[in-house]
Amino acid sequence: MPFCVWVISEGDARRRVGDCTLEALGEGRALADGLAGRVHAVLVGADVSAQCEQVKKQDVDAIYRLEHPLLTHHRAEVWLAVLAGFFTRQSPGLILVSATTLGRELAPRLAARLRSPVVTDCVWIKPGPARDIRLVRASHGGQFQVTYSFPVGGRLVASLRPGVVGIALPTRSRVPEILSWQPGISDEQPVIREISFMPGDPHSISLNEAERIVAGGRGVKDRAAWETIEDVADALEAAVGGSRAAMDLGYIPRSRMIGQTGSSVKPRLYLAAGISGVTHHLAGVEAEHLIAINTDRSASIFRSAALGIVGDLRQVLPRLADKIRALRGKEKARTP
Amino acid sequence: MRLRALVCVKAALDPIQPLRVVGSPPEFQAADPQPIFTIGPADDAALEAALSLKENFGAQVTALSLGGPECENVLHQCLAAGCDDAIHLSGDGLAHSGTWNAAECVAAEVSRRAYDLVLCGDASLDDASGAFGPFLSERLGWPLVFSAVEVSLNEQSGQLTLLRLLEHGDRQRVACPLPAVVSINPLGFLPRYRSVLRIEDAEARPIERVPIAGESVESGLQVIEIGPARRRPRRMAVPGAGLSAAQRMQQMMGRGESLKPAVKDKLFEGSVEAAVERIVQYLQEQGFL
Repeated sequence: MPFCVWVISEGDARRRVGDCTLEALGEGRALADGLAGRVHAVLVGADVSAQCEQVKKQDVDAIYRLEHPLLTHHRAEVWLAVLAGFFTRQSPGLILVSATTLGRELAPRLAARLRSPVVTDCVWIKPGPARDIRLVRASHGGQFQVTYSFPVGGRLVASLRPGVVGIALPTRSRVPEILSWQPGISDEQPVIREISFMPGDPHSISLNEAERIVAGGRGVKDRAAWETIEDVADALEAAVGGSRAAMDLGYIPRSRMIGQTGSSVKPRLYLAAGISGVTHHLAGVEAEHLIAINTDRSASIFRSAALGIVGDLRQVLPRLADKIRALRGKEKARTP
Repeated sequence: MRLRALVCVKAALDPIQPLRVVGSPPEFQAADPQPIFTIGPADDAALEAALSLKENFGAQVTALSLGGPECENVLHQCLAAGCDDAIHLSGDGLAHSGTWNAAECVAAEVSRRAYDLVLCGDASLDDASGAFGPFLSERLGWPLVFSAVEVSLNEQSGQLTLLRLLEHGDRQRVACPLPAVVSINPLGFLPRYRSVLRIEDAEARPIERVPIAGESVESGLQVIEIGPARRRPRRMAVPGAGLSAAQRMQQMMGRGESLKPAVKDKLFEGSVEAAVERIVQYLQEQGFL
């Protein structure tokens, strides 16, 4: 039986596969290749169709869909019951989960139910020279690193620290097998009951956790123009950041500065207004979608932008904020 | 009925002192013959959470630590902070018998004494595996609330109401019946100051010692090396080999540039209204609106 790396996928509220899962899939692929093994992705949720489409593009051998209306996010006890039932019927190998809040609870509990050892918060997982798995984790506040060895053939649970190994672009295109597994969940409600869920406040969230950022730079000439940046951020439910110039002009505190000497950010959306795009600012930006607004057609930011608007931010941004609010108002009116 | 709470604290080697690696399999040891052991920030937060239940809801709070003589000082700190009593699960070799064994020992003690609630930190100061609370929950068969930053008791229903801190600043408020295990996130609680006088008074108070034996379970997992922290290579997106050298340089130097094909007509020049429409269209296409 070939060695298997089982990667438990974690999605977000918009049903996208998280970066942490992409990292785990890449690390799992490298490990499986070194041990002549396979990578199986395990998608858990109420509806994993969107995640399945994303994971198909990663280099995996098989995708298992575990779907049930009760399998919403942040319901660790339900996930645990389903995954324990699933893995007792599968071949052993490495079960890999990201060391998120969910993963940090799930990994040890799943290991206990499967009577397997667990290594949490790994920073590195690689094949060893003696047909074993080598795992490295930090200890004593990061002063030391501890290397573990586990022989291939048994079952091991491990969690991978997010943001350390980086996301590997798939090097091969592979058509994975897609299988559904019906979780048997009893009709009883989970013991722990959710009273309310409060999304993070974009005004106070740390920039390196923000999904959306609206940033301004030297092109924002005055305080009134900066308020249009904040207005669009409010409409888009985005965090506000800025370049070094914005900090020097007093629009943002040091904690909100983005760049080589400031924060490094990885948002899904980065709206840059009045930012020229010099290297030491863009060195701190790794955005999935970068939209730039600048009056200078030759600004270097346009080379990095997915969409560039040549225009005056003082005219574009207020109208953009109004348009977004109008659309959101219509959406709220449609939703019962 | 009075809530009976147990708070588990670990006597961890304080990382401010020089540590060395000895033995085979390798393990940590303080270089100083009189090492300093302390309560980690997460366990300290769990202690504070327990004491807040005592002050607000009249809970009875017991501190528990597992290990050798190093636990005494830590338990006296807990008594000085306000715990009603303290238990030392003592035995040589317990510190090296693993987190699962520690959870087994504590679970046996919890079952013997009928506690309603067990609190612990979400990660210890030294090993920081974060596995103790989850293991304890599995061993006891009790629900676990992980990463709690607020804990209160609903006296009408007899259930706990807790606030959990998740990623990206998200928070979740939950209700959990008793008995339960709660793993505390240190961001939620500021440990109280323990004065020297209170510590001196606490040192005169007795600690209940329960001798136990540590048993390691052979799992196939071995520590083969402990060394200084070193940076590992981090993957970066590499531009495709099919691009020209100039294009590959441009992609590598433009950190904000996606490696996906560029949007058609990506540079827009036109009226303000048309520009706004173009931005909104893009945001809708990409799922932001």
